Amino acid sequence: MNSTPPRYYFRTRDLVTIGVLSALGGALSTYVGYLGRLVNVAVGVPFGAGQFLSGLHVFWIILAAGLIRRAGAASLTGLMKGLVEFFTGNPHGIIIVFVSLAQGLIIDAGLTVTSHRNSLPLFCVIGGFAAASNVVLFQLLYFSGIPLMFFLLLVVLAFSSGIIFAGYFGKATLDLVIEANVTRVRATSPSPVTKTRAKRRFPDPYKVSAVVFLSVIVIGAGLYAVFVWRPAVDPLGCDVTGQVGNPYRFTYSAFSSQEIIVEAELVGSVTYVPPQNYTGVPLAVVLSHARPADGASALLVLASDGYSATFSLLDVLSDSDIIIIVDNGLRLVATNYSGEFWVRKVSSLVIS
Amino acid sequence: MSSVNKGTSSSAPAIKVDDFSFTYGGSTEPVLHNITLTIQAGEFVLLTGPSGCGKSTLTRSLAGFIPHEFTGKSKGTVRIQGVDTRTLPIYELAKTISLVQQDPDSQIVTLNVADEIAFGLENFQTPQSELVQRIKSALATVNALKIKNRSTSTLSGGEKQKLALASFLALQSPILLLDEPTARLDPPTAREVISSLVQLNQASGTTILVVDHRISPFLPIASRCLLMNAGRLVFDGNPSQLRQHPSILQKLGVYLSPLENTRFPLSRLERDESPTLTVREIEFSYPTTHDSSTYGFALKDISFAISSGEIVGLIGANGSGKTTLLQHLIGLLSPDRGNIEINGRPVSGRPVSELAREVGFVFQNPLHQLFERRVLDELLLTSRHIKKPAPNEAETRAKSLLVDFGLSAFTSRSPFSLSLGEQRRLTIASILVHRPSLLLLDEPFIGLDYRNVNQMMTIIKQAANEGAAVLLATHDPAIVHAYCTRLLFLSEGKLLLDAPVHQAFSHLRRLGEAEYIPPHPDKSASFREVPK
Amino acid sequence: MRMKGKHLHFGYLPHSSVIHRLNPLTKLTVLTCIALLTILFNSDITSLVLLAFLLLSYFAAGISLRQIISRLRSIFVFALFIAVVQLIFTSYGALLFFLIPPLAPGLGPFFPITMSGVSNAIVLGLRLINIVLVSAIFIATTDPTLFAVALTRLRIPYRYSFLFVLTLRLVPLFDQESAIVQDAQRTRGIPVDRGVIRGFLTRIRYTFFPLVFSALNRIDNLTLAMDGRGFGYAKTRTYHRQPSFRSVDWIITIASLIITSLLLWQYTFLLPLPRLLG
Repeated sequence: MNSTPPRYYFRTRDLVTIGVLSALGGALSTYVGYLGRLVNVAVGVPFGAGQFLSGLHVFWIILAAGLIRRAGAASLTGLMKGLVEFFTGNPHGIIIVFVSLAQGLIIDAGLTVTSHRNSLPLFCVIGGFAAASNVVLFQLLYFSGIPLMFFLLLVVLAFSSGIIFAGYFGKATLDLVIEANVTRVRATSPSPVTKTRAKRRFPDPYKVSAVVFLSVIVIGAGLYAVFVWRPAVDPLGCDVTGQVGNPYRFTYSAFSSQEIIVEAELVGSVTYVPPQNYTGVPLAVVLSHARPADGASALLVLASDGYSATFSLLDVLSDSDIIIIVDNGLRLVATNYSGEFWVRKVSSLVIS
Repeated sequence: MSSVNKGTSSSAPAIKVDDFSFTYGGSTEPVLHNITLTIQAGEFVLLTGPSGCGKSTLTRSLAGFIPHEFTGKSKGTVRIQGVDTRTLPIYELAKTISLVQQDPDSQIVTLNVADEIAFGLENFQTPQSELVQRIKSALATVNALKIKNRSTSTLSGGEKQKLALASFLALQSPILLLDEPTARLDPPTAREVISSLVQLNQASGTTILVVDHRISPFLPIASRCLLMNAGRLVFDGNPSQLRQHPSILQKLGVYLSPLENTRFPLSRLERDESPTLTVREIEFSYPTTHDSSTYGFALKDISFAISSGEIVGLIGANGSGKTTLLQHLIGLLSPDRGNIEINGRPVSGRPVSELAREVGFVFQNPLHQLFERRVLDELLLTSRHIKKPAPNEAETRAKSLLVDFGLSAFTSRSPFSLSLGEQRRLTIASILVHRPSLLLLDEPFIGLDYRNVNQMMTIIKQAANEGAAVLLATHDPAIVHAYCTRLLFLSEGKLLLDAPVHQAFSHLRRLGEAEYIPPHPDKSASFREVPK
Repeated sequence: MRMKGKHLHFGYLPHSSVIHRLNPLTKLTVLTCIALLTILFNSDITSLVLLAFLLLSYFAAGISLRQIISRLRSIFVFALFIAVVQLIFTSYGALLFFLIPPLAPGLGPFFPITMSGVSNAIVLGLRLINIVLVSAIFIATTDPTLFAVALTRLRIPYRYSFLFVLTLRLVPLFDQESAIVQDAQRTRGIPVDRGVIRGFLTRIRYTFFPLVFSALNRIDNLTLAMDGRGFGYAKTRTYHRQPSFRSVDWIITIASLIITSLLLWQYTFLLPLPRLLG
């Protein structure tokens, strides 16, 4: 036994384990995508709810890391799985390599910090983070101005998926693999069989699926509430915040007694609306109600679609021709300002 | 032939094992007990013994993977060309001794045939200028030059087996170990592979050790036979000595040919008015988008029927359409033309999961059809879905099947922790609980010794006696000979033969397909005289 | 749902075009540069220029664009969806017209189409499409084995670059196994073909367990098959076919690195890049 081969950090067996699991993950990603579409159909949305299955992509990485128990195994698995998906024509192209690698890095970080403790809560937490990372990464890469609320819901959905499929299902599979002893797991505790057997608690599939579908439906309903009903709850209000003595929520109806009529001409870079009369509440009145601090000098007008415009606070406070009108939400009529300042869908006024 | 010795110049024997014992880590039961064995350079040795006797462990020990790759306790020494395997790293040993394992799909590691052959040579830093020639000559040895530029994923099973062999032959190691090199091959391809081994042994003096359950093809060519049982070497002599002790062999589950006198009286074979399965003129071709070279032949104008109580053997070359035909019978594939009826009802238009009530299907690899966490649940899976029989009855039946199949000790074990033989028995037990009237078995015996085969067939026969019709696809003519009442022979998608077994074998000889006739035709001849 | 053979057809389409003959590393560099530019820049002009460049590359590689589009139809539909959403819901910027004119006094007009909306639609729609197109041409023109060999030139040890070849080799095998496992489920009476909701998790388990165990069972044999053929014998190995790195590779690599760094430099210091009609 005194042979002195060049010692490699990962033995051939470790590399093969990584290859086998990444290949299987890559081969099954089509299947997981197909299941994701089923979930979308079941919930009734074109996309998004499929995030409920994103933990199934992390499952492979966690399984490989749990079997090999060496730092770097998860990252290598993530990288290989991503590369294979890229080379077999994943619709996200090269991006999938980075998404998958990021998941591996997160799992490696989590497991290394805890020195590969074989515990269910740990697997669930890192599985959750790894699964959620894909939403964040896609959001960063393809920022398409989706509302924060929707983004957060997707993160929560992916995180729960990571808990269920990467954490719970991953740990259960790992225990079963160790019990069946199909692979010779690197130096585990002396009697993993008896230990895991005593601990083996599988979720009743029907109970779990009931809970899961209930939550999907609740989340789906939440999405619709956010998207469809939010405008109807109070479409005509905006927050007035920042360096003010009295931050409050402005509602048009509360100020309707202060309405005035101004005549304004909209001159945009392309748009032109000839002078016409607009009826609305003076912006100065709305701002004064919040009692701007003495040092404040700027006003940031934010729209719900992410657009913003900055005004000089002093100019605005002394300008009674700038009004807020009701036009498909709140809209700023910035008389004598160019078209870019006529902000639509005003959601908040920030004074600084 | 045993003294040809060009491979080595040293006088040390090719393999020398001294009082070697081994116990896998995590186990207390030794797999090998005090093995002592010397094999001289240039010998052609056959090693056989029942499933689980330690044959594979012995080959792993000879190639040095034990103790280098597998943890455990060992005692004694293994020397290859005089060198203790423990003192050399595994890749140094690999230059001297090559182990070709059973499943080619678990040995092919590259995307192209030429890359696969080059893999080992490249690792050993063979200069690029030599590689092209070495790739060609390795493929030529196994008579497979024409696949040189193919992608590995499009190869057939037989081509994969040849590739796995050639990729080791390219290394030109003086000692070659082969674990069941012909188990997945149809008889003609098996003969081709065996003759390249003989050629290698005679021309280059390569020392060869073949491990196999099917020993008859090797008896005429091996210079020496080894027999193992329960981790011990129990026989070491020449093949003719082995033939003289058929009873010892039978006790060990190794048969020169499988059990005889097990078939049904011929009266069973009379044509039935309402057969369980009727196939009428079906035709099928794979969609053209598929790479035609990777799939079996289409089915051409196939008609036959199987009645309750029959056990029908389905034989034919790799890719002749056996699996394709079986997939039609349970609705996994639909014929382009023609129709299939089970118990008088057409198959087409019914979902597979519904047909499962009447048809039980066993796939080649048991791991592809085990789903549950406990053995008992595995048996109850189908009845839970099709609600037949009632839960109590199903559980009673499942438990009695577990006893019949010798699996009752594993009732609450994970199916994945069982041995291959146990898993195969479990897959058959799992389709019997709801008593389907048609059983379709696709190569269920690969890698099993005849004792296991016999145990399984006894229960299948019992199911047939209770009224099931059975269709069994296999490469092994000896099994058909021993257990089947009738034989279907497929060739390139056509049904060339449908006849009672004893007639079928003489037809096959006339068709020039003598390889599908089991050895000892003298014995099969005697069956012609079975009274009606 | 049978998915037999979905992956059997890899992205690689053997051919001998100019682009096929480039070194995989050259193509990897160009791929990285284009992906970086696409993601970082919010400029419709940059997006359109990149698109034109990519279409030209497809022509040079002799690859039918129609084939790629039909294979990746879903992503093109998704890109179109994103573009339309941007077009309709971007309400700032110079107004072009309203999608729905005033219907009655006080009702409408609705959905202003603005220049910014057009610009956003181009940028975000093309971001997806450009990345897909550059990825697809890379894999269509790059032999994966040569890609792995080329990686060793970046001083990546061959044991790791070979791991990629091994993994890719196993995908079609597992793809077939996955089809078999789904067939096996149906033959056991599990209604895979009906009932979307019922037993959803059980179905996942029934698919994952057999495949995981059958795959893990191959580890022993694969390991022996590799170690038994000298895998890891030395730090380097020879190759019977190797990609060449010609002067054209140098030119393209250096040119794309220079162009990308210049654009990135501008991006960092003159942020943001002038937007069409901002």
